[in-house]
Order: sequence, then C-alpha cells, then structure tokens
Amino acid sequence: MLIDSYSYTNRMYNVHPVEKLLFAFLTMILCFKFDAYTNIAVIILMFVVTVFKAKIPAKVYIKLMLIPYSFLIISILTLVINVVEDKSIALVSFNIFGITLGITAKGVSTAIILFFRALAVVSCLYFLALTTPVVDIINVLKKFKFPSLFLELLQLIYRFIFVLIQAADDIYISQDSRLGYATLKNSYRSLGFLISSLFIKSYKDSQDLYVALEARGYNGELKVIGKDYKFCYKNIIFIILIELILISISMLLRR
Amino acid sequence: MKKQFILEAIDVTFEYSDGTKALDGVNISIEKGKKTAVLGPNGVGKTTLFLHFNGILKPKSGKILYNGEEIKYNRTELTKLRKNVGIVFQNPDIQLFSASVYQEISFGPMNLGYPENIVKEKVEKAMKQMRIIDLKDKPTHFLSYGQKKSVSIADIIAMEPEVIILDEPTVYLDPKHVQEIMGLFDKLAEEEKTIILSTHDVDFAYSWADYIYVMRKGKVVAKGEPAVVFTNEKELDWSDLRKPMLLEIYEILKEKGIMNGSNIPKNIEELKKCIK
Repeated sequence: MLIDSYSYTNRMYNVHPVEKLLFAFLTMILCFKFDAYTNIAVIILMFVVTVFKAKIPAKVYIKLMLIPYSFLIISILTLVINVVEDKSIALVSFNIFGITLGITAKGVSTAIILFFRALAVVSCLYFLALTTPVVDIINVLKKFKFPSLFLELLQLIYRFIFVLIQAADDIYISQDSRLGYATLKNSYRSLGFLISSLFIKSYKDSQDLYVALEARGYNGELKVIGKDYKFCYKNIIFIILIELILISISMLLRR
Repeated sequence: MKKQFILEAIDVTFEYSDGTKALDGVNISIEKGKKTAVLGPNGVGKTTLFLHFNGILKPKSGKILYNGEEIKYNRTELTKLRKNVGIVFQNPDIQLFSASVYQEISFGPMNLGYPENIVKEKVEKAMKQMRIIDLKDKPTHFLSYGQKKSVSIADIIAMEPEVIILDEPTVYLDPKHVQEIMGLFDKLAEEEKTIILSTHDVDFAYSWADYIYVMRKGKVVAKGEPAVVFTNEKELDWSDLRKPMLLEIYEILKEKGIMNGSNIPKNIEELKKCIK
C-alpha cells in the first residue's frame, strides 16, 4: 500500500488528473511505436519527473522499478533461446534430445527491444500510480462516460480493500499472539480460520454497508461530487513539448 | 403547553427472519428538540429500533409516527423520511463507503437531489461544524478512528435532518473526542434539532440527556427524566446497568447531611454548588 500513500502525499497531487493521465498514456503510446532508444529516453524522463517533480524518493522509485525484473528476465530468456534449424545463423547453439537450441542475433535484438519497452511502459504506469490517487482516476473515467456500474464497483472495491486488510491484520495479530503461527501445522490451521472468518465478516459487513447506504437515501446509484481541479495550460504545453521532442528524436534516430 | 412529539413508536414488534424477537411491544415518544438517550446492554434491540425510525425496517405489528403521521413505505415518502431522520452508525468503517472524505459527505445531499453548488455548500458547512476541514483531501483509509467517526457524523449533518440518531457514538472514542462530540450535540440541540442516541455509558447518559429510555430484551422497562429514572429503584433492576457515579456520590453526601438544596445535581459543577 506504499504506492497508494505516495499518491496522496506527492508534490503533483494537485495537478489535474487528466493532465497526468494524458502524459502517461501519450508517452506509453510512443513506447510501443518506437524502438529501444526512445524507450530508454522514456525511462529516464519518467525517473526525472517522478523523482524531481513529484518528489518521490529515488530509493523508493528504484526499488519499485526492480520489482518487474524477475518476470522480465524469465520472459527474455525464453525469447533469446530459440529452436534454430540452421546452425550457421546461430551465435551459440547446443543439442538437446536431437533438437538444436541456440541464440540468434534476431532473437537478441527482439529481446533487447522488449526489455526496454517493458521497463518504459512500467515506468509510465508507476508515474501515474505514484502521482494520481485512485479516486481521481475514477472521477476522470466518470467524466469520460465509463459505465457507472463498473466505476462504482471500482470505488467500493478500492475502499474496502483497506477495511479488509485491516480486518485480516487484526485477526492475524490475535492469532499470532496465541501461538497460532508457532508451527507449520498451526499456521495452516490458523490461515484457514483467518480466511473463513474474513469471508463471513465481509459478507456481514457488506449487508451492513447496504443498510447504511439505504439510510442515507441510496437508490441504486452512488452519486458523489469529486474534487475540483483546474487545468494548467503551462502543464499542457509542457506535455505537448515533451511528446514532440520525443517523437522528433525518435524519428531522427530511426534513419 | 402540549408536548410535540417528532417520532413515536406505538406497540412496535419486530422479528428477524430467524425468529428472534428483537422488539416486543415498544412504546417510545421522542419530544421535538430534546436530547434523548436509549440505555441498555448490547443486543436489546436499540439498533433495530433506530432502523425502524428511518424506515429501513418495517414493524411486524404496531406503527411508527413521524410528526404525528404514520410513515408510509413507498419510495418518495421514504426519501422524505430519510432526509429528516439521519442515522450515524456505530462502526464508521462500514458507514464510510468512499475513499475520499469529500465524496463521502457529498453522498447524502446528492441523493436528496440538490444541484451541485448547493451540495458543495452543505458539505463545506458540515465539515466546518465537525471541524474536519483539514481532512478534506485525505483518503478515508488514512484517518484515525476518531476522525472517521467525525466524518460519519458530518455525513448525516450535511443532509440537515430534523432528527439525528447516533448508535453508540462514544464507544472507542477518547475522552477529548467525547467532550467535543458532546459539545457539538448541545449546539445542534440549540438549533432545535432532536438528538437520539444509544449508549451503555450511564454517567454520560445521566448528565447529557433530557429524557431517558431503558431497554431490556426488546422492551422498554423504564423511562423518564434522568434524575427520576435513576432514583426510582423499584422499577429498575440495577444488575443490567449501574447507577451513575455522580448520583451515588450525591446520595452518600446527602445521607451524611452535607448537602444543600433539594435539586439533584446533573453534573460536577452542580454537585459542587450543593455541598455545604
């Protein structure tokens, strides 16, 4: 829940969420359109904006960026090592059970592009997640006329994740203080109890929530007013400029 | 002058679907503009009774009157009733459904169909009254229990109801918050709002309430002004509730003959004045 708390405390909290969404998604599109150099530029750009503009601690940001590596490396390996039919195009090759596996130059270049593209897209998403609270994103989606059923579900799920985590934590502590997790056998049993009681509790709470909503005149739609934001033209010009620079450099490097 | 009753329960009986009798012939009359406390241990039907006042539950027999008229259970009438009778639930973590404090408080007024600018005014006013303006941009899950409680009360105040019902408002709150909330209730009472709350804190009920109902096992077993209820030992079996500390001290002092005046004190200041 670290990301969530930063999304409310960062320095870009008061920037219009549409601007932030625009910035993240436009940049993301460029990541798909262009190759590795652009992607590296995007990784650096997002680092600079998130760490220096939004004031997210560099350490935190780098730690978050390291999370996808384990997935990335596995998928890169499968891309790099392929079945090769013609040994001459392979850089390295070896035989297993009569099949020739090897590394080709093409495989390596695809892997490199994929590696940086994945990181660049992740960094765009991190920028958004670290600077924009979920509540704001939901409000923007509402303005773009997303189905309200979907958005209300999103809103309730987001709110009650925290209630559920709190409840789970309380149960865990009370079990742990009675040696519920002292041995492996105890742990399995306690975890079972925890899950079943959480399930029952959530069910009961959801009914109570419905009653509480009804008491305030709920009639099937969660009508609320969001926070007011003002568009900042400077920011929009900045976004357009950055995207233009990225596009033009990418075009030049492509030749 | 004839007393004006804003909410009345007449012979109300209610059974949950599993057959437990939650209310058994309850008669309660809430006077307009007064502070009423409903006392009783857990599980005697206080919450069930409150849900009747707001039209969430429908009595099996008997009826509920609002301003002398029996309430009707169709959508338009219920919306009107729920505008006028607001309930603050015991657990704020269940009542607060939105991750944003501002959105949360705007929910009630929005349901009443006000235009957005008026809703905003009402939300701001409620936040000012509860002194939670600084929580405006905070997400709900960052708040402390006391802050969540304040937001859950603001939820209801923003709807500007005639009657505010609070289910166990002082549970888990620290003394400072209890003090603040008591002060707030007094202010609301000055604005002619009717306040009903349930509690098992007899000391709180004794010095705060104008009128007290004591419930046990789905029935009203005693009612009256605090000083009357708590001194009438014949009617009450004190095993469920103890006597307020202040009253006990008063009685001891009176026995020893160091009491002045005949009025029973309601709070520490009044007690001080009584001592010779």
